[in-house]
Amino acid sequence: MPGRIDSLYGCGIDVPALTAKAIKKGLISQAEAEKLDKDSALALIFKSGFSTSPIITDISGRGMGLAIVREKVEKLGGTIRVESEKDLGTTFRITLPMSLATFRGVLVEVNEAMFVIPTSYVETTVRIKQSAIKTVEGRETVTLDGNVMSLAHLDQILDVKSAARERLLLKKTDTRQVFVNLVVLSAAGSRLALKVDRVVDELQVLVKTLGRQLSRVRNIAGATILGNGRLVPVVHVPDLVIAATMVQTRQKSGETEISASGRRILVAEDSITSRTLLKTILENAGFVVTTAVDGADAFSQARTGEFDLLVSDVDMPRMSGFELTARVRADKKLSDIPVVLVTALESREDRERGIDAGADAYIVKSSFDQSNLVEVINKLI
Amino acid sequence: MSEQIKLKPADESSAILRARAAVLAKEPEQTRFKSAGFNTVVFALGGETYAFASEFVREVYPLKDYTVVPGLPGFILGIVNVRGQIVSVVDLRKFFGLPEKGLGELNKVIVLRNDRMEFGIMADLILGSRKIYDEELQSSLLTISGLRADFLRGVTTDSLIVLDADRILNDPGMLIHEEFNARPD
Repeated sequence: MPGRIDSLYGCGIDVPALTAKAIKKGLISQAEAEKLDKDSALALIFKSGFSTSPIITDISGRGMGLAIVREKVEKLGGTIRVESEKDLGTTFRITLPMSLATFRGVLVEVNEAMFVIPTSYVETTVRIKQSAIKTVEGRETVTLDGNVMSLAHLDQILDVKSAARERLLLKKTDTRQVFVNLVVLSAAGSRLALKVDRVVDELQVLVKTLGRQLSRVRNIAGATILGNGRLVPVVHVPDLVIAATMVQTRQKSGETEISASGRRILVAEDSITSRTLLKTILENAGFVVTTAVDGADAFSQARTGEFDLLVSDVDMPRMSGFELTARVRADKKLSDIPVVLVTALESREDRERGIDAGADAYIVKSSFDQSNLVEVINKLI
Repeated sequence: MSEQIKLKPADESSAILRARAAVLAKEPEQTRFKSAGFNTVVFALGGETYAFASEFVREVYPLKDYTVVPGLPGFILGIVNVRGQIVSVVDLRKFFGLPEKGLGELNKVIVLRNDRMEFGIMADLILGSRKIYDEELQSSLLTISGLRADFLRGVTTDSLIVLDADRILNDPGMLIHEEFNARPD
């Protein structure tokens, strides 16, 4: 149960006078003012540099106080709202979470990366038709329950690189193209629809700091550890809302160009960093990449899936790249697949051993660079 | 089934053990150096061999998985879960601006710390520990180009690059603290 502080004072806020002042200050335009409902107009008092006081004294009139209050409340993961009736009084409602360490969070996925959004900021999650997204003056908007709100793409705000595979899946899977998953956020008195690939779950999370080095990271408040040990960043919603207004929502160009023909490559590599690097390089070159953590994993994946080429490390647990190559060559279904070995072994004997096993190309890790790998692959398929 | 085990007389066995001990025993290494020396953790990264003073190494941890945190500078790989504690991981080659050639193993994390800072460093291979004496260290930078001199404690004659962990930990560039100043309101 959140704690609540109510206070009652003053003689109420004169909303028309407030909006008139905001227009005069240049905070909003006349046209915008006409569209404001009472709640949104009242939210203007939290803007910094905005004061209804005609004179500046030592302690008031600069228009900073309420802006600072809002910032502090949001830092604690809370919200502040104002209600007012002219001549009757004003109520400020500050809602704070009981505990800062644990809270409920919505787990979302975007471009294969997961993020947690604190539930306290989430109004609702919805699935709407792609066609319901309208573009107004170059910005995407959606209408939910009669309210127009701007739409932002979580992957664009956070700059999570979209993988080639995702683009291809989007083209293939019709339902994902027709429907869009949105998380509706409410922070700082404004609402924002956030587009994500998938809403995975809602769960109780324990938020941790990102360690001593990462004292403050834009858009990210911390991280949580899921039951399976996986780390998931927790987004900082107030940052996100500001960022959303700055990221010019790029006009969807419909089809993203795909350079390669979407050929499928299986990458076998036991080191997580090399595996990720190879995957990124190949996906950026337009290939669809599946990864395997060792030779045995790669062999079983190759047997069950369809691949145009295999890229493999040599030194791996359970089954080495040499053995994998030999098994692939001996297999009826797989015997024609080109195999590229990427290895730390530089000697001539090793190279010959690779060719003996049936590899089509042998790239030495110490002389590895992105272009030669892609070049070699393009020659083979 | 019974097997006959012939026991040697006691004095004969102890003579054998003494002989073995004499073979295995090693004279403590006579050092040519006057300084006390310091222990280091030696590791390979991008084809070079580096060392950190052990006093700044909290532990070495296998890098099995990591999570990318959006918006971080390129020299930070991401964060890892070290027994429930979150530790950020730095790619030293990128931090130093060294040319990235080759594809390393990079599956070890050396967790460095001092009283103010803590983070992990990616390594290809942990080669062991070694005692290094100040007299062994040369400040000559002929072997390493592009590496900032103040991050070095020195280089040994066998091209082991001894890094100054304390300086690297305290470098202002390592601390990520981004306030969101661009508030539109």
